[in-house]
Amino acid sequence: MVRQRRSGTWNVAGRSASLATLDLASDDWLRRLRAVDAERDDALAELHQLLVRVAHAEARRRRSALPDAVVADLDDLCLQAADDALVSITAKLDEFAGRSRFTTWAIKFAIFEISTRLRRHAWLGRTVQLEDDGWSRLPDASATTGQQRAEQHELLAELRRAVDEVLTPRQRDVFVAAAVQEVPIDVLAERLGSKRGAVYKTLHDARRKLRGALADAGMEVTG
Amino acid sequence: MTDPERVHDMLGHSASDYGCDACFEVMDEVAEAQAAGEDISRRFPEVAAHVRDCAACREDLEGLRAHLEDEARGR
Repeated sequence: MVRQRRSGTWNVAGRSASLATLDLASDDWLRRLRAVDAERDDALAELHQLLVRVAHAEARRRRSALPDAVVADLDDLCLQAADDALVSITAKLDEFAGRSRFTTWAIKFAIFEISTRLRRHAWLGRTVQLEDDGWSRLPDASATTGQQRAEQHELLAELRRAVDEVLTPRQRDVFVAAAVQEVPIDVLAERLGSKRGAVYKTLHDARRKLRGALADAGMEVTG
Repeated sequence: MTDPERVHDMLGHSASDYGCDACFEVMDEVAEAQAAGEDISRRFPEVAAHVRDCAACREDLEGLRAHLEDEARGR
């Protein structure tokens, strides 16, 4: 493959139309992953090892927040995450635009896969009850005066009214689960047969409607 | 009764939203900028707003940045 040196970096000719200039290591990763036979196999194996290490490192970073049942399955979860990340990376290889190092780009897939698995595994066996609004489980207030308590009570009452009156059923289910019950968005997406981005969009739309309803009631919430 | 900060978090902060998919697309670039000490709210304001409201994307970005910082320390 012909390569051109540009301003101290390399570009892979013929594939560089949408690529920013690449560092040498990133260029080498791309060249090897686009090679044939043994060279590509070696690159895939090396990349998989990197993804497994990253998944384990991320799991260790979050370990204090993980239930024991998740910790017991970490090796399997990390291997699954690396496997799926590698599939995504090879499928999207031509989408790598060179705006970061190749390994940073690749590693984000492993982080996404392991973090999604950790959240979902932690909720295995737990029921997400969309019909249970969960308001009663909200934490106690820090209000110290009677006026503050009254204002918070009024705000919460107006919010509950708005949830019932301005949201669609889907928005209400997603808002109550994600915002009130604090169900992780990846767990909710799995239970709803959807994707993180689609569920988050529903949550965002619900939040916007609710802020508008509170503003209309003279209770604009700014944060 | 509910802490007003909790209500703020429940309602989010941004009028517009970048979206999880768009956030993922640039997360590698954002993490490298963060690891280099850049203020992402200046260079990537849409991403900064999104991760403020989206816990999952925020945690993923933190994980990627943590990896880059570990890598820089030679771990």
